[in-house]
Order: sequence, then structure tokens, then C-alpha cells
Amino acid sequence: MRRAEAFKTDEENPLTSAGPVVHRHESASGRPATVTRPSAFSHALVMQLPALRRYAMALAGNAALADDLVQDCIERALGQESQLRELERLGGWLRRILYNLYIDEMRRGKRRGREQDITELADHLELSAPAPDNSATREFNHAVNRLSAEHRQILLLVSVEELSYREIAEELEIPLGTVMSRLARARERLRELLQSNTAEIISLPDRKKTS
Amino acid sequence: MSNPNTISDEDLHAYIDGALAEDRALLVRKALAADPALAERVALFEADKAMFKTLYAPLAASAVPADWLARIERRPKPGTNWRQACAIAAVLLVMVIGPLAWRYNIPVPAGDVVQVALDAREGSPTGERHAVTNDDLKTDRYDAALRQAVASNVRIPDLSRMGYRVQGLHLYGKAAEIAYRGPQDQLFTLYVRRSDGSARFDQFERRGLRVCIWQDDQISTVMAGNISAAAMQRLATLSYTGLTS
Repeated sequence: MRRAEAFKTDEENPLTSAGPVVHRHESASGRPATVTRPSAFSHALVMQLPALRRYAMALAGNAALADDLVQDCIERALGQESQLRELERLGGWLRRILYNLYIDEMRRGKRRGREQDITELADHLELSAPAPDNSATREFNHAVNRLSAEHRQILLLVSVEELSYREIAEELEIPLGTVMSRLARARERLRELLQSNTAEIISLPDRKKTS
Repeated sequence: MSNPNTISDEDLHAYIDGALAEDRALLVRKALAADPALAERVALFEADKAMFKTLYAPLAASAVPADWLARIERRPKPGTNWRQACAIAAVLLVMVIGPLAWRYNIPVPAGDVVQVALDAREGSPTGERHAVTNDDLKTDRYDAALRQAVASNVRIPDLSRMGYRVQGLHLYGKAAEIAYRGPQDQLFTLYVRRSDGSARFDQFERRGLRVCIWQDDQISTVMAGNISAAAMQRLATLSYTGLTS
């Protein structure tokens, strides 16, 4: 039985042999190795779930709605697998489905759900980062939730999913210049919201002094 | 006509994201050095970007609900056989148990293949090493060598979409390691060998590297690089699908 051992002669080694290479794929048992891998689509879909759920939570700002969106997204992806042209684009394809589901949900006006504090979204996590200042994180989360869905989307894609501008342009099917201008507007808007939050807090009277 | 030395908002944000061409980035750096107000504004944007990452990135570490995974496992697909079902089930099990194990510090056996792959990356084992050129890649000889080494119908994945170029193919008996260099010259390695028949999928940090193991009933792949979890997710998908396409 011939196994794929280290090449003993140059003739055997396809890197040095000029002639055609004949492969006899054999399994460890000696039987021909048939390619019966589990569906790459299933593997890849499962692999994407944690990141997809994170995206949904950050987009929706509500864990229950996020989970409903991911479940619907899984159903739709399983039903539309044939529409995915390249498996390596699965992540973007799923995010697009999920975003459209979210927009549909908002348009129907069914619910947005209660805005949840980031610490509630992550209540079962041990954050690897040092515990952030609660009030600062709450303000930030609140400001993000007040952004338009389009602005939240682009900020998440660049800051959390770490996509390049080109990848974002492909995923959103918009020109690169639109990605850049939309991102600039989203960041400016977030800053405005954060600064207005700060202003609101500063204007509040000090309870200890007034009581 | 606009002044080429004018810095637009888009330039500033591209600078923050490392997406600005070097000549424009130099212009921005000069402007920041000369204008403290502009520098403060950019620092705030950078802080906001970091806050996104700090707050939302860990949300991906939560355990995926088992019913989602069961739904994928149940999906009707012509030709699905018991081996496929078992392999997917094993992947799903890892997905459910992995995060819980991490949380409660339950030791999850990483398997020797991860250690062997990381040793190979560090150059510990001896084996044949071949530098690869673009011309070589066109000849299919490297695909043939890889197929022969791991005795499976695989090919060298093309990761150029993410800016990664093949730098070398290392053959270690029945295993092979493909080395890539990324856009910032970072090393990404893809170690491939025959699988022990079980399915595994996991992503974690080991020896200061982000590591992903993706194994089906035929091949084990271990991917390693000094990259983020998000980048690994994309590279791993591209690698696995490219390898088995």
C-alpha cells in the first residue's frame, strides 16, 4: 500500500518532477478516499453565527430582537443557499440578509424592543477588556442606539467587523466614495450625540447638594 | 479646482482606519502636528472607534443557542449521509461547549495537531521547504505536492482577495504548511494534514497568536497568525473553502 510519505526520489516528488503526477488518493484504511466532507456551507454557516449574533445585538440594541433576527436569518440563508455565489462571501451575505430583516422589522413598526444596556447584552460574558466606566459605556451605547440604522451599520462594519472600505463597498453594493462619506457623517453624528449626552449630564443639578 | 493639500473629512477618517495612501497620510500627520484642535478631534474619533471594539467585540464570545445549531444540522439536503451528519454534529457541539468551557475554565483538549502546527510554524520540525513564486503556482505542481502529502483532494487556497500571497510550501511527511504574507507583511500559516476522522472547529489564542482549527472527517487544518478574531474568521473561511473547492 502506497502512502503519501515524504518523497523518496525526485521522480516521486511533484515539486521536482516535470512529468504528469498520478495521484492515488487512499484513506488510512487503504480504501479510495472519497470526498464526502460535511457540507462546507453548514460548516461555514455555523462558524459565522457568533459574529452574526454580535452584529445583530449591536445593530438592534436588544438581545431578544437580535436573536429573532439571527434565527430568521438562518432560515432565510438555508432556503437561499443556491443564491450565494462564493462561500467566502458568506459573512457579508448573512449580514446583508440580517440587516434587511432588521429594516423590514422597523418598517413594519412591530417593535424596536427596549434599548438594553451594553452590560445586559453582555451579562453572561466575562469581558476580556478591563471593566469600562459604566456611565461612559452606557452613554456610548445610548448614543449608538440613537444613530440611524445605516450609520450604525457602517460603524459596526468598520470598527467591529474590521472590514476594509473596499469590502464594505462590495457588501453594501455602494461606491467606495459613498462608503467614505457615509462613514464620516456617521462618526460626526455619533460625536454630536455623545457631546449632547455629556451636555445633558452636566446640566443636571447635583442631587447631594440640592437635597 | 480643489487644493490637493486640503484635508477632507473623508481623508481624516481614512487616516484613522489606516486606509489612506502614504502620501496623503503624511499630509494628515503634518496637519495634526500643526493643529492641536484637529489632533484632538481625530483623537476623539479614534477613541470612539476603540470603544466600539471594546464594547461590542466580546459579544461574539457568547455561546450560540443549541436550537440554532440543531436547525442547521436538520437542514434537508440531498446526499447528506450519516458521516456528514456526525461531522456537523461534532462541530456544533464544539460551538456550544467551547464558549462555556472558556467561561468556566473547563480544559478543552486542543489536540496534538494544534501543537504540531505551531511547532511547524516556529520551524521546529525538519522537512522539505520550498519557496513559491507566482510562476510556480501556475503550474499546479504545488497543488499536486499538497495533495500527495495529505492524500486528499485539496489545493492551495488563494487568499489574495485579502491581500495575502503564498510565500512558501513546507512538506513534513504526511503534512504540509502553507505560509502566506499579508498586506503588512504579517505571517499567516495554514497547516494541513489528514484528519483523525472527527470534526472540530474552534478559535482561540495560543502562543500569542490567533489560532483556528477547522477539521472535517478527511483533513485537519490549523490556521495561525498575529491577527484579529474578525480577520481570522474571514481568512479561515477563505482558506477552508479554497482548500476544498
